[in-house]
Order: sequence, then C-alpha cells, then structure tokens
Amino acid sequence: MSIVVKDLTYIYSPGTPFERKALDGVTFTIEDGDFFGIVGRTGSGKSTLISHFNGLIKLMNGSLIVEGIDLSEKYDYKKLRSQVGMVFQYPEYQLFDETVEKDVGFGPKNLGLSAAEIAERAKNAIELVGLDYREIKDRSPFELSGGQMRRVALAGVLAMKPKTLILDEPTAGLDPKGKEEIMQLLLRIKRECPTIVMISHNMDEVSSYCNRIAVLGGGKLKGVFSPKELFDKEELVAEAGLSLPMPAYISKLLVERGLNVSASSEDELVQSILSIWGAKNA
Amino acid sequence: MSFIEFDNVSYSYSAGTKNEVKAVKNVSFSIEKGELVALVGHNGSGKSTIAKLMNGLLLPQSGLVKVNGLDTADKKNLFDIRKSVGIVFQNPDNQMVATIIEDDVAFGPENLGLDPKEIRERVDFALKSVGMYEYREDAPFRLSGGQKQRIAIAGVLAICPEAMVLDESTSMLDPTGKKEIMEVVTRLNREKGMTVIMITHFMEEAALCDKIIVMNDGSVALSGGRQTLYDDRLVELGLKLPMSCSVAKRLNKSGMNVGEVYTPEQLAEAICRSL
Repeated sequence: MSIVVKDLTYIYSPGTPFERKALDGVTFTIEDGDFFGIVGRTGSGKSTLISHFNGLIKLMNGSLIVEGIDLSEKYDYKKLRSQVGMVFQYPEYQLFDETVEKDVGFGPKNLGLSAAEIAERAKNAIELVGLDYREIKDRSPFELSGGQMRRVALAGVLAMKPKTLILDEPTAGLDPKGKEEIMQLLLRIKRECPTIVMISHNMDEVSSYCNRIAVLGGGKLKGVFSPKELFDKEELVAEAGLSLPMPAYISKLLVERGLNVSASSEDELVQSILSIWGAKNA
Repeated sequence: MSFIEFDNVSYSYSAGTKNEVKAVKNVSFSIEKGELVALVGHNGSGKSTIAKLMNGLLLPQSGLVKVNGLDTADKKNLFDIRKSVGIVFQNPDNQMVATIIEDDVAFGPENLGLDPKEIRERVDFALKSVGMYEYREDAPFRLSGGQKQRIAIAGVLAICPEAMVLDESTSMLDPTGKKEIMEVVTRLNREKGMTVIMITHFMEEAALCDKIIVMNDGSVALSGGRQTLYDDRLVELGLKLPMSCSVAKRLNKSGMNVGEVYTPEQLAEAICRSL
C-alpha cells in the first residue's frame, strides 16, 4: 500500500476568525501501482490533501502512512521526500538554475550524491521526460517553450527517483496537444515510478488514464470509484464541479430525446448515430 | 472606426539580440464595440503578446495599435486606454494587491477617484458576478487558484471597462468554474454591451463567441465568424475542434445533414431533426 489516509482532518487558522475546515475525516487508501485521480471543485480540499503526502502540511488530526513511513510520529522527512515526488501546479515557475542540467540535478545534489551520480540521474530524468539530453542540458531553462519548461520541472522531481509521483493539475494551461503529450509521458513514467496520484479537473483525462478516482467535496471524501462507476453517478459528477466527458454528455442529451445511444468516445458516438440514421433510412 | 485596430503590428522579445523571438509578425485585425471575440492558437503562437499590445503594456515595434482611435504608443493616451481595456491574466497570484478580497477588488475603482458609495456598489456587483461575494472579507492568499482567478476577474469588472481581455483566465478553473465565468462574460457582453476578447485553448469556449481569430506562429492564420470552426484549415493547424462541431462535420460528410452546430445541445436537436 502506497498511501494510507485515515480520518484526516485539517483546519486552516484554527482559533481565529479565519478558521476554515479544509479536510474533514478523510479516509482512503492508494495502492501500489494505482493511477489515482483526485477530483473536486476548487476549494474542496484537494491541494490541502496532497500537501500532506510529502509532509508539506503537518498532520493535525488522524493518521497517514506514506510508503511505509508513519507521518503521525517523528519521521525522516528527507527520506519521505525522496520517495514521494511532488509536482505542483505550473511547476515551470519553480525553475531557477542557470542550465537545465543543473536545475534537474539540484535535488540529487541535496541528497549528497557524487557528481557522477548526479549527472547520471539528471541525464536519465531528462531523457525520461522525452527531451534530447545533449541538445538541452546546457541551455537556460528560461529560454525554453512552456511545454519544455514543464518537462524540465518534471525531470527535476523524477531525478529524485520517487516511488510515488503526485501531480497537481499537470496539464493546466497547456493546449490540447500539450495536454495529450504530458498524459502520454505520465504513462511512460509510470513504468519507473509505479504509483501516480493526480489532481485533475479534466474529466476526459481522468476517465482515460486513472483506474481509481477519489471525489472530494467541502473537505469530505464522497467516495472512491472506478471511472465507469463515477460517470453513472451524475449528481456526484456535477457536485464535484466536473462535467461528463463530452461523448457521454452528448449521448445523455440524445437519450433524453428518445434515442438509444451510449458512447464513450467520439468514434463510438458517430457510429451509433449513423447506424440509427441508416436503420431509419433503410 | 473600429474599437480596437491592429495595423501591420510586429513585436519581438529580446529584439536585436541572438535570443530574439518574433512573437507577433505583421498582424492586422479589428474588433468592433460589443463583439465577443475568441483568440485561439497553440502555446507560443503569439496570443498573450497580442493581449499585452491591446492596452499598451507592450508597444508595437512596427505598425500601429489603436483603441477608440487612440494610438497606444502615445504616452498621454495610456490612462484612457487602460480605463477602457482591462486585462485578466493567466496567473491570479501575480494580480493580487491587497490583503482583504474586497480591498483588492476596490483597488481599481479607488484609483479612478470615484466616490465611496459608487466604489461599494461596483465591488459588490463585481464580486456577485463571479460568485465570490460571501468571501469578500477573507484574505486572498487563503483562496484556491480558481477562486483567486475569480477575484482577479472581479477586479477588472469593478473598473467597468468597455472591453475585457481574458488571457486564458479560465484555464485553472474546474469545468463548473469555467462555465460560470463564461456565463458572466457572455452576460456582460449581451446585456451591458461589453466587448470581450477571450484568449483560450478551449475551443468549446470559442464556439460561444461571435468572432474567432486563429493565431499560428505569430501570424493570423484564419479569422471570421463562428463558422470558422468548420474550416478544414483549423484541423490542419492542429487545433482540436469542439466535439459538437467535429461530430457534426463527420455526420455531414457521411450524408446525414445536420448542418453547422456549435453546442452539444444544438447538435442533439439537429440530429433529432434529421432522423
């Protein structure tokens, strides 16, 4: 078991007029090898939840075990952070070093590794995110395109060789092509870093990539579902501020108008409409 | 005279150095008062540079940008230009100035020297428009990214500009949040006649606009009404059509004529009509 969350509660600014409960008795488990989605409206507690996973937020109430480390006791946070990689929203804003290679090697350097090992890890991580190591290593990260910068930032986290990778809206702000590229990249990364946890607002993404999805609402866990289970719960989907994937939504509109259509992709949708049309005109 | 005019405008970052990036190349277009315009294109196609050129945050290196007939390159016009064209940026964290939300939204109207009663009304209107009124006495730093973005939009609304440019301002919001902002924006456009320029990757949002300008590699590749979404060149540029349009296109090609539709609802209606 990668992450075991039990009865997690977190209150911002307790005892002040600004007091707000961000998490309220959240309990669930993320298994090794999961591609785990976390969904919910803005302000539902998603970011607060994942900030617990590598100890950025101190446990207030409840218990949390991450990669075998019990965060409710005194623990080695360096060890925790080398096992759990965290990629924030717009991670490219965190690039800082002179060259891509130095930026990516910053984490391993802080682990106290040898120069050769740092270089080796930086090279592997840069290649893992699909960039040309020789071409890019000496360039300034600030000269790169947005999509490349995001990959470099991701490489910086991967250079720590985490066992679990946590991402907060990894595709936010990218164009559709960039989004698809990052998601494909995550599938490739998953071979080396087996557990991936991802916050997303993009229903199409969650449904095509995640095997399990936790829904948060008002700081409470509404449940953990498979994509199919989730889309059958229309009210929950709406409550989580999500929309049905487009093929499912158009199918629903057609069903309401008396047609028998159930499609999970554009191709399926077009085919089933055409077959209804064909049957009527036969 | 058009409301916003770009006449053969070019802009390069780091101009004259070896790192020069030609972001906008000989771009001409015009936007009329009251239009709802989508500016679409890949990352790096020059969209955000165009946004900054619209109210004089960047000045054209060649060519001319005019707002209400006023040249943005003339310093004495800038106050009036910025009062009439407000920009909401991508990252709300860079747009917060105050420690309390309603103070943040009041910052613009205060600088216009309005009387307190008017400021109060504008702040309340703006916060209600984006659904953040109940948070008015909270601190912005405690909000989530999406909530902050709504405050940034309220900050621009409170200035009551004639035009609002949204530079991917919905990209951090969840689908419901996106829909809310689109509703606010279309309402402001329809009811108050506000000119709105949406810079967006979401072609579903572009489908709700009256006019679409497609950027590619610093130039205008295509522009026109909503029917531009049915132009095959859009797909050649690697842009993803809204699914309602792409399904309609495929059905039309197969001989089932559903016409040109722009929303899932229109698609469903058209399919039922043609059966």
